[in-house]
Amino acid sequence: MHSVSAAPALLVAVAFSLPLIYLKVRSVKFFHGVSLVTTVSVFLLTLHVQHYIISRETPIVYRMGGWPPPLGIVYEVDALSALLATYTALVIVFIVAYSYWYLGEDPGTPYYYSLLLGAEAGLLGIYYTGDVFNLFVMLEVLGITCYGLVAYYRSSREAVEASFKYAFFGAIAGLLYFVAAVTTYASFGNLTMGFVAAHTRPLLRHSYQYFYQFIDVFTWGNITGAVAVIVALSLWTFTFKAGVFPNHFWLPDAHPAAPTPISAVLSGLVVNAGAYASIRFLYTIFGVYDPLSQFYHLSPYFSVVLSFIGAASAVFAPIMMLIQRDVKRLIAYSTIMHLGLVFTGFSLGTALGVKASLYHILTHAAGKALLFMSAGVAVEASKTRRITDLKAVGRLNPLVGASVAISCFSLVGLPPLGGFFSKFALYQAFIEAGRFELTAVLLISSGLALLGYFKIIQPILFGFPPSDLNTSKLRELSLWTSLLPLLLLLIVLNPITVEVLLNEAAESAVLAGKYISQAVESYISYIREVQLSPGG
Amino acid sequence: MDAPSLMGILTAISIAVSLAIWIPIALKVRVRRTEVYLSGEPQAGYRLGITEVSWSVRRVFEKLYAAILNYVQTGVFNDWFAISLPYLILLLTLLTVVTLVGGGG
Repeated sequence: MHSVSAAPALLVAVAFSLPLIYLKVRSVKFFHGVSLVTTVSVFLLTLHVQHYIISRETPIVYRMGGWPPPLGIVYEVDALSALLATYTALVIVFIVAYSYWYLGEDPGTPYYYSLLLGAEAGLLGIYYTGDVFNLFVMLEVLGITCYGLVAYYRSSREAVEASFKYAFFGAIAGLLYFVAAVTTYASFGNLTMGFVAAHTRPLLRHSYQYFYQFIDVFTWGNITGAVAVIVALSLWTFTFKAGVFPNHFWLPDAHPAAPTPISAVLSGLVVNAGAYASIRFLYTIFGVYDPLSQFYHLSPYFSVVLSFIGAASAVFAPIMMLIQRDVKRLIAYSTIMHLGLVFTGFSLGTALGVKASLYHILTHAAGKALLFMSAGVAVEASKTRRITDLKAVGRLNPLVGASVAISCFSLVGLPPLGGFFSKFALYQAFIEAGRFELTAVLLISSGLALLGYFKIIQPILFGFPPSDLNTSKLRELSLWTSLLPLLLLLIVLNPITVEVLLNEAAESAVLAGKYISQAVESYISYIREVQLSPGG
Repeated sequence: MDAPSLMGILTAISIAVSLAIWIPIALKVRVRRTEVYLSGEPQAGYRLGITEVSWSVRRVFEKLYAAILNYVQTGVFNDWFAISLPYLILLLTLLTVVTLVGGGG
């Protein structure tokens, strides 16, 4: 088995095994240990895949069960998907370490990890897949596990209500994306992303005449009319998954109701899947921003639509942050703002814009996970999520105080933290594209958000310390091993460390040539194998 | 009467009956305002406090906040659909028109 498929397969296998093992093994610590080992292994596998792709400088095509595209499902991993998958796997390792501190001896732990590992499998599947329908399956895997995780405290009416809302709208979003996948199949005759991308680039026909004589057999629809419906339905779904305006409404309810580590997963990682899928569809598959694509004339319209969605989220969300009284709800609104900024970045249609968006995804994921986890310590100590009643845990544990402050400062965009560099990259991209109104949006949203973040910093660092707190829990190793690496990550996420990776990822998103050619080569090599075989 | 004609007539009747029932209901239903919902913030007790950092911004945008709280983030499904559904229709209409009229292909 190739390591591309090994990571999701391992996660699915462990996720399904945990509840069964719980029938025999009752030690909760065992499940913490198994989950930690699994997530570390998955991180190493994703890192191996990323290293392999960067060294070969071409995407990997993995045929599921040996079936070639378009007959079978393929995983196609390029620098963009490998970067996001590796980073997701890394952050989840720290979240699992934090879960050990957070859950302790909670008897629901096996089920919790079963769902969490399932969600990670869904995320990796979304990033790795090269198939439009398989993306639907992975979105559903991610969605269903997250609905369960939001309703983890099933005795809480608030959690059940939030989960129900999330699931209800998730079902609608899934249905719309399913219609988009069906329309893709009905018009393009296949569901392989690389093949669909090849069809939208008529100029490539000269390079792949051998390929097109086979693949044209599958095409039976009017792709021009179909693409409008496919992109509209998928973009609606992806904006729902990313939690950007006006499809953000589920997010401020669902994220706070979940256990704190899950809030970190949802706000830091799950929303990125929507942004990634949007980039993959608009850039790679349909080539809206690719001059070689027959849909290139749509680029000005997409720039307007996406930048409006992004700008509206980036301004609306910090205003909502200011009036929140629930700390986790405030942080959830900040997620809407940052994903809005990510959307404005890739709305530009330039490599610099995509690079800035990806950079902001990385810094936001680390900052948001750290902020949720460190603020979660204060919530646990204060036994309330009400901001004004939070105790000054930061004065008892300097790591928690530093984590809250540094994550907030990074999210605001203060130097020398990662958030500053990613916002600076966005600023550069807006200036380069001549979109000065978006630079204003970026500055206004950051200024408003700063006021919101002060609402969290003030009670946790400068409020009254808790009198009846069990301070030994604040000194536990699992808390340090989860917060400290993320804190360091925010400091080291500067252009020196990630520039090369971001350039590779942005290039593979904007220039789809390698992505298309690898899918096509995979098909051609299979056809040649069949023709050369004795029975062929 | 052949089967396709019968199917067409029955479908037309069912649509007509559905519309006859649905339109009067749709005309009566109005957007509701909710004070509190479980997973949301209890909005009834919202006050401006001068001690809060965001006081001046909140003072300036007070009416905007009230509008957002009462009409956008209410926690009622219908209100969300009122924003989200037009967004979908707008996307579909815009992209269909510009794709077909713009000469793609």
